[in-house]
Amino acid sequence: MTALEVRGLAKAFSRPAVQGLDLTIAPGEFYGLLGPNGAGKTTTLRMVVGLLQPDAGSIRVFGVDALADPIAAKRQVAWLPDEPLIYDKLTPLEFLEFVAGLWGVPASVAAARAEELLHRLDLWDHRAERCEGFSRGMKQKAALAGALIHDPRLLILDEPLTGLDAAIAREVKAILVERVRAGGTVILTTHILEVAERLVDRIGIIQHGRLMAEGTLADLRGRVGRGDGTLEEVFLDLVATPDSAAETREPA
Amino acid sequence: MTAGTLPWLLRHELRLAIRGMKLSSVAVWLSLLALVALFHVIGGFIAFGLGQGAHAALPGISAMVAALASCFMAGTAVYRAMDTIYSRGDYDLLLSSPLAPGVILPARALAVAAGTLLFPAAIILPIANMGAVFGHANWLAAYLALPALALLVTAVALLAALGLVRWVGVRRARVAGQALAAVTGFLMALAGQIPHLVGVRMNWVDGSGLHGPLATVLLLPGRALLGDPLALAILVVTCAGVFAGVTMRWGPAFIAAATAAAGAATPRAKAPRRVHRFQDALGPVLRRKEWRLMARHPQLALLLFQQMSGAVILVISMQAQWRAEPLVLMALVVPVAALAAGTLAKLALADGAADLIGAAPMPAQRLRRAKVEAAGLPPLAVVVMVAAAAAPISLWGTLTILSCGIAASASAVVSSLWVQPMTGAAMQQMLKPRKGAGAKVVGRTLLETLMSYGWMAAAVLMLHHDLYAVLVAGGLVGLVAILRTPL
Repeated sequence: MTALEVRGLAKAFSRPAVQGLDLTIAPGEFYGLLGPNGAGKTTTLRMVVGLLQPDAGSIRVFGVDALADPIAAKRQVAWLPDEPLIYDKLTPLEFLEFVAGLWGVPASVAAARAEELLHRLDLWDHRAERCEGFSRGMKQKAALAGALIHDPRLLILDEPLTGLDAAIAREVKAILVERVRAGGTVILTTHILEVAERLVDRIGIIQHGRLMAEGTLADLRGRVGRGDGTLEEVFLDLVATPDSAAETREPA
Repeated sequence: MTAGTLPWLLRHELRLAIRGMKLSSVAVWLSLLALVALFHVIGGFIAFGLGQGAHAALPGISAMVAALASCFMAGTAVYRAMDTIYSRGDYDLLLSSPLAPGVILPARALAVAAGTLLFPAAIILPIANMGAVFGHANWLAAYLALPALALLVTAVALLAALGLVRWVGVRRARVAGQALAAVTGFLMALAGQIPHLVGVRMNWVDGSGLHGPLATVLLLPGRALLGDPLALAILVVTCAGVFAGVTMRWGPAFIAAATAAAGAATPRAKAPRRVHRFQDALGPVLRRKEWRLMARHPQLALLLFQQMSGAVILVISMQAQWRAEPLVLMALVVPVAALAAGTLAKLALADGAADLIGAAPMPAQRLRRAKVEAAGLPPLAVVVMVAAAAAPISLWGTLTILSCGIAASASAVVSSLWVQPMTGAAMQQMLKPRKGAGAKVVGRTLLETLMSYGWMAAAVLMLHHDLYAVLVAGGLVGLVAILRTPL
């Protein structure tokens, strides 16, 4: 069973944002979804988590048809966008209680997990303070705690490191790696290519709403003929090739 | 226009304000023109009535109008002044530019004054225009007197905002400012009732009961509105002088307060004494979250105070009837509960993390129901208490207040919330209505207020065993259906 299987996904607003996208992500995989601004990464992920209705295509999360049974699919997924999804007027504990309630986590389990997460993310001393006074990094950590409180099988993060200082970013990365080691699946979008290079198992590059290349870093290096190139060099080569989308879609 | 000057910056401020009004569609302009025409028709009747033989009373009436307009403008100006402090906006850009600091506050304050002037001007100037048509060209002095009052009120509001920041601190000043704005709105209700309140003890209307410096000061704005040259000159010079003095003397302090507001750190909370108990049941978790957010909403007090001002007017203006029929006074809880429920529903609807609940494994109906419960239960609790208090007077009274209170609160919540989309892009669309929908927002607000007081009318009819109550209730249910139409 795959963690996420997307077939022929399409969405258009005033112009096509995602066009016939196919993705297959295995359980326990750390997957990086990269692409230039406006490539369709966030639109794709918002459709996967049920925030946008696709125009066409199918989405399966751990075998569950996310379009036919969105509630069952959502139970297994957590979504962390670049703008932290928290309530400024709640304290971290109140926020975690609410999120745990939404995902149906029993109170005793949620309380213990909240304490553990807040300690881990260095927010325990701030547990009774409203989030409105938090820095961006603290808000992002509170949002991450919310994403983890229901122990999701699939964690989807859209630019989670934007605006975080080095120490917090390092902590977040460590948590993500831990989750993958523990068998969780993580999908990450980022413009910080060094992060993707060091963390992820497999990379998908999308442009103009189409998957134009996918594979390990070694696969991608081979595709552009840069044996020891960095991900940044490989990425820039790939997105600079005008017809690469058409060429690479067929194998996918 | 020379860049960096006061007029240049003022033009920038006004352009931003006008673009914020979304006046780009033809439908909005047509609606505005229709409103202007309507106000002139109404203003024509008022001007004609005032011009016919009420000359002795005119200064008093005009003074009352000036007092009402000033109170209204004060509420708006305080709110906008606080907003100027806390909405960081482009302060960083302006203050980091080589623009003279002395230009920034006057420009922003003039924009505040212009914003506060809009509504009173829309009401009063058509009367002045039509007065001029009927031979009272001197009434056109309102075009000078009203802006002068707006300048004065804005200067006072800026001082009040600055004073609050200094006295209660940056963090608490915002809430205090909103309470102050609400109180000034409340004063407007009282100002409109002055002739009724003072009655024969002081003949406010013709000024004969007032003598000496107090009368001169109180009646001066009224005389200025009517075009008395000396009064107008004194008013304009005084107001402009106060405005210039305040913005120049306290401008740097005000900007420093705004800068401090941006960097104000939240005080470290003390470690909680009790362990936070997580709830197992979903309903209480969802409701508790809504109630926490409602109670901590910075505008809750202001919104509720504004909603209640109509009820205050009713209480004051119908004192005699209330004494005779206390049950009718108790029925006032019906519109109060409905208005409060509508306000709470709108706060619940504006979910700060809509994508979070959109991504949650929870049917949208369940979340909507929690919002309905959270918005409706507190006002209903008040209705139940008042209905219980009515029991010693009449069981029928209790049943009437209870049934109408429930129906009114439910109508308000349902029309505000029930069918509205509440997450993601759809929610954004609802919160930021498409171009041309601004007039509909105003219309809906008026209809909601009408509906709330309509339920009170139904309650009063029921109290008098009048069968028309059924007709009114049926009409109000139909109104709910209209209000459910998405914008």
